[in-house]
Amino acid sequence: MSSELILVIGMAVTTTGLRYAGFGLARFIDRYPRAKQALSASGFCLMVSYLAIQVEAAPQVSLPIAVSLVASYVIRGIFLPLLLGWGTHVLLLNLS
Amino acid sequence: MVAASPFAANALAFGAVVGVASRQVGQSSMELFLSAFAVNAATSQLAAFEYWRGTLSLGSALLVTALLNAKHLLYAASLWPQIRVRNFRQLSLIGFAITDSSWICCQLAAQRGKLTPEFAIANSWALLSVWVLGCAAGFHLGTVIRPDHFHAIGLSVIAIVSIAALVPKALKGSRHLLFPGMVAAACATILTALKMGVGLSILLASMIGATAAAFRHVE
Repeated sequence: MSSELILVIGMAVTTTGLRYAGFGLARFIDRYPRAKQALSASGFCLMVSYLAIQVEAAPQVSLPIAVSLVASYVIRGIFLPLLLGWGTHVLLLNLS
Repeated sequence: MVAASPFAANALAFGAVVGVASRQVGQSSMELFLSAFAVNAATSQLAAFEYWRGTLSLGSALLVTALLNAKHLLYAASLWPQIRVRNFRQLSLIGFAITDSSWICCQLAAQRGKLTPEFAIANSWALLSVWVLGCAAGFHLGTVIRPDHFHAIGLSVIAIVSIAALVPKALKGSRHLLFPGMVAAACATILTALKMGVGLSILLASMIGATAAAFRHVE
């Protein structure tokens, strides 16, 4: 077996292992009220930290993010705010 | 399947970019297929190309994969309260295929109260199939497809704006999430400024935010 194939298999095992470990960890700590609260908030924290990192890494996405945030607050549903944010980004790309 | 459609274009395009890059570094079609199917994470696949270029050792490439994909631990953990799968087969199928875009789709479904294990499986496997297809297309049509074709239509921003659109919906009726969210955002900014890897920063910042939520619960 080539070293390249070993790397690919190692990467697959690592990544899949992390995902299964996430389920295992959640299943284990789900019985504790504090941990349950943390788990419920973890999805939201993931979203917010992901956005913060995107803004830090590429400030040009700030405006599309802001448009989607405001539109989602005002409009019902998800897809129109998504399209408005995407449209803003495409507009900015073509203007620059 | 319909829920996955806005993300399918994104997965197809980025798959093609990875496929093109894979051919350029000299990966075989078997290695590309295996990594697209079983790793299913664009950034770590792209980072691992450094091994083919000879600038990264095997151990370092594996470490980079673990750091970049550390957030996947929390992707799975954060889905658990909403799906609570007891069936091992279903859990295995979701755990194998869940990644950035399918996690976002699951969060969208959760907002509408429609997230079920069946939805998570169908969605994550549909997007995984599109991802593999995109990688294969990029590998075989590398001379026709160029990354700048996708750049012009801004596909890279779909995942970002969809998360932005999700945030206000998640906050409605769950104002208690505001404080942990602010903690997570502040930590993410600090960790990025400290030049920590993206995957690890997201994982650590989210864990700190979630811990803040746990302690607020006790108060």
